[in-house]
Amino acid sequence: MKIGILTSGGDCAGLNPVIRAIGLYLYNNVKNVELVGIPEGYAGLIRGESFPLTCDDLKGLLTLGGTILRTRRTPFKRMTVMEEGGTRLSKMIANYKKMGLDCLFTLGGAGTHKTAALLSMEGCNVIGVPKTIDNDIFGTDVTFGFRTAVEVVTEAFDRIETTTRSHSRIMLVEVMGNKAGWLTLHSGIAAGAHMILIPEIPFNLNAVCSFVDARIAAGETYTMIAVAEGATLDTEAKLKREERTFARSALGESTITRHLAEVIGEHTGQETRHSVLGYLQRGGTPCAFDRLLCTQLGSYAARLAVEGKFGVTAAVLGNKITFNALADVAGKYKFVDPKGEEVAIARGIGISFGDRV
Amino acid sequence: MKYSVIDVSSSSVSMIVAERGGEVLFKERASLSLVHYLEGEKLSLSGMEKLAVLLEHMKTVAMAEGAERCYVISTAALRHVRNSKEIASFIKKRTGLSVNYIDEPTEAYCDYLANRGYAALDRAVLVDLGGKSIEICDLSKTEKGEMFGFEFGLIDLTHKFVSNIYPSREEGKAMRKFLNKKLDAANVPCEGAFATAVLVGATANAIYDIYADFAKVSGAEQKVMEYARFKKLAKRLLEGADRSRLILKNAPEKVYVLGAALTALKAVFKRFAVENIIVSDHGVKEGYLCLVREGKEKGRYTLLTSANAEDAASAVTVAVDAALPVPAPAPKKRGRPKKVQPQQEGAPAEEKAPKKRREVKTQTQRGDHE
Repeated sequence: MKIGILTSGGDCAGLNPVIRAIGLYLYNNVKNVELVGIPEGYAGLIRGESFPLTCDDLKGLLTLGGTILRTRRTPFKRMTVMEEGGTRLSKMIANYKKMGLDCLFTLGGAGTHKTAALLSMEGCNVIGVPKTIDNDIFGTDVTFGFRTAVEVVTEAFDRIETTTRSHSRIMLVEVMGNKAGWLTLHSGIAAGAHMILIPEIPFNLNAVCSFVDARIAAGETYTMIAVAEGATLDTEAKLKREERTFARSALGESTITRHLAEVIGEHTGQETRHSVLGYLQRGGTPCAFDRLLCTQLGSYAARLAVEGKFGVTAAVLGNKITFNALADVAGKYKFVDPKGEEVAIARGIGISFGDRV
Repeated sequence: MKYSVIDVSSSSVSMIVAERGGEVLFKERASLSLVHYLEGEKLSLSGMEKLAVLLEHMKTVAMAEGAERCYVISTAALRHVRNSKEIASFIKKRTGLSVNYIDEPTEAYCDYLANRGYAALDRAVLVDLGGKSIEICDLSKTEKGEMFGFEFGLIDLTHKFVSNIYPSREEGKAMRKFLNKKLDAANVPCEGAFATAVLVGATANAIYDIYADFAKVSGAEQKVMEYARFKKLAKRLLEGADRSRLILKNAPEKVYVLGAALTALKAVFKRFAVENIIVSDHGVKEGYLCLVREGKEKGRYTLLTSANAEDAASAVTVAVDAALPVPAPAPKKRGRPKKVQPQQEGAPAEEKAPKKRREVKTQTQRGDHE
């Protein structure tokens, strides 16, 4: 049995522990198994590259951040475009066969799962494992990498808060999450943010300023605001994503955070700063929760391969490790429900989402 | 009173909420590829759990939409699973909902009832390609016994003839030969008998969605496919380099049956020499609603608004309220395909755009009644 593993899309903590768990399960339970790593995600498969992953290669991976396989973003929309030598999809299928793979594990986010579904539809035996700090993969309660990112963002928030409080500032902290606001919501609540702005709840400038005014009027000396990369003004919300991106790029910005900080600063007269956490959120060693989750997901996914259950992705549903059919989840996202319990809980303790004056 | 009917098929769970008069107010569909959860001929525990979660979700949405009676139906998808009784009791225990298994002739009749308005079209035939059964109804015939039903479906055809995901030319040829043999054996009419094919069911609608994307059709009042374009689409989906992308974009849950569906449709269209292809939004759910309201089917339902909701296990077979008036299908208001003259009366109810889902503020209350 020859098994391939690739990691695709943006990296996050937990990729290596999943590789380790898959490898350990296979080496412990399958005779004559051959495990290969495919470098740089689908790009490596398109080029037809692979290298052996031995038991020794798996040592020390549990706590190691990043991915030993290296990763790269390979846009889904380019997969079926005709290029020299055929489409990227056809090259991947040809290389899958050429390598003699019996199964391919794809560790990645929503885009990776879409391409995995494509491969599966063309007859490759594919099993996905849901990775993303955004936690926006449909059909699973949690993705690996998310909890570590929440820890990292929360700690960064804690550190920024002490300096913000000391200087009596208003601070906007930009958190990753273009489409979904899970990371901003969870870390914002965990860090005690006063306001959380996420893509799912478009905010109103007046509401944001009024909330800060009210805090100042109440004698509060500082305000912490968690802003998701994809947070949008209510006036922008009607625009298509491309139109919004175009309008922002005309101003030399890709997110709203800096502009919002300026507006709040001018409105309140209080010193206002913003901080973009950036790649801090992806790097580093996985937290204990993610180490456990990665081991569970990796081991379970490997078991699915041994059982011959392909065209699926591992998932967590109601504290159980299970699987979803790729066809049922590919191309779908899981968003924060603006009327859901988590938002209600946050509102209940006075956290503003910038949508109500 | 508003009704909700939830249909469990082999690749999805779908629901309608309809008014007393039959007008559909709300629709919802969620993908669930049951084929992935089969262990031999049984649905696995994880499959049952997935199904229960989706049904619970549908029930909550139905309540939020104001539905008072909820019928859960399943056709061949679960009927052919060996542990169908176990599934029904699991669903009952977990959700309080009772599953009504519909036999093949009833399924065909439901399709007919939901689409009898199309009978006025030029020599219309109704075709429902399901995962585990196929129904063909001459719309000029009105009796249940006059419908053609086949106890095999797209999943069976795929298993029997397709070695990979998409059928090869040779596999397609063999599949068409098999189908024609079955149709001949059942005395399904041949060329010239029908001019208009009315396609029913989730797979047909999935094919239309791909067709609309492929042919750049948008905002059409009625789902009509041109035969020549359909043939081009079928060729693209069976042999094109971007076939999987098209399917993934529009109907990923259908990938395992689309090849068989396209092949079967090609065979059926050729056999009848159809000139017009219409895809109906109405199917088994709407037909089943007609049946229970006409008193022809004693379906078990769950009363969603009962004050005494605690005993989920108390659901029993419900006697249909015979006093309810027989629903008069709403007049058809949509556009017509060329060469056809549909009647005004008896056509399927026109759908409203699905309403925005309301927030569910209360816990599910239920009480099943006889």
